[in-house]
Amino acid sequence: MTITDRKPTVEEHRARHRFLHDALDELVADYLSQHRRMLPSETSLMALMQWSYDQTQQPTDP
Amino acid sequence: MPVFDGVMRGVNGGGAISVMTRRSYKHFYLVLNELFETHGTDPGAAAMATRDDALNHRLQLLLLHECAAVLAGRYFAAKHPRSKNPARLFVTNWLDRTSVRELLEWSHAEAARRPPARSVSKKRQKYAGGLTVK
Repeated sequence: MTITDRKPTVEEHRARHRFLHDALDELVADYLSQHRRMLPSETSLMALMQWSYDQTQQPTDP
Repeated sequence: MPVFDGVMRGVNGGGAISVMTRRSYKHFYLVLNELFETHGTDPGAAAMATRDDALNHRLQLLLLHECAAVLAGRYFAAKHPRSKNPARLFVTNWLDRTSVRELLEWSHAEAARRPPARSVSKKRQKYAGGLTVK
């Protein structure tokens, strides 16, 4: 993945969003697999961010 | 790495998504270097091929956290386009009120969004298609 200073084209912008969205998808799937009773609509972004940060500090299950 | 740094990077990323990702990647690789130093490995391309599963897992978690945080920040910026350099408390309150589902839906739409149709000037239409334009 190359990162440049110029403004991205529409397609590059969209590709970047696809990459970020895939990462979000994976993270939410991990979160839900560890919180079986939670739904995305019931989970705040705060809860996800806090859990995700805690995982970076101390992963629960590699 | 404080919890909301990535979110704030996304919030203050400005209009060009490349700027915000360059910032986040710079941060990511700083953390990466720290990790490699901790593990006594040279932070170079060869080190990326480490067979330390625990380290790879942690790096993956860092990347996922960074991506989600920056996306959340960009979503905030999209929802509050007039809010420049918002207070961290304002952003954290918004994070409390906003669901993961909302972010997923917005992110999905952004990733799937078609490029805007190019508008063609009347003059160009006239010359391209022989149309009569008043």
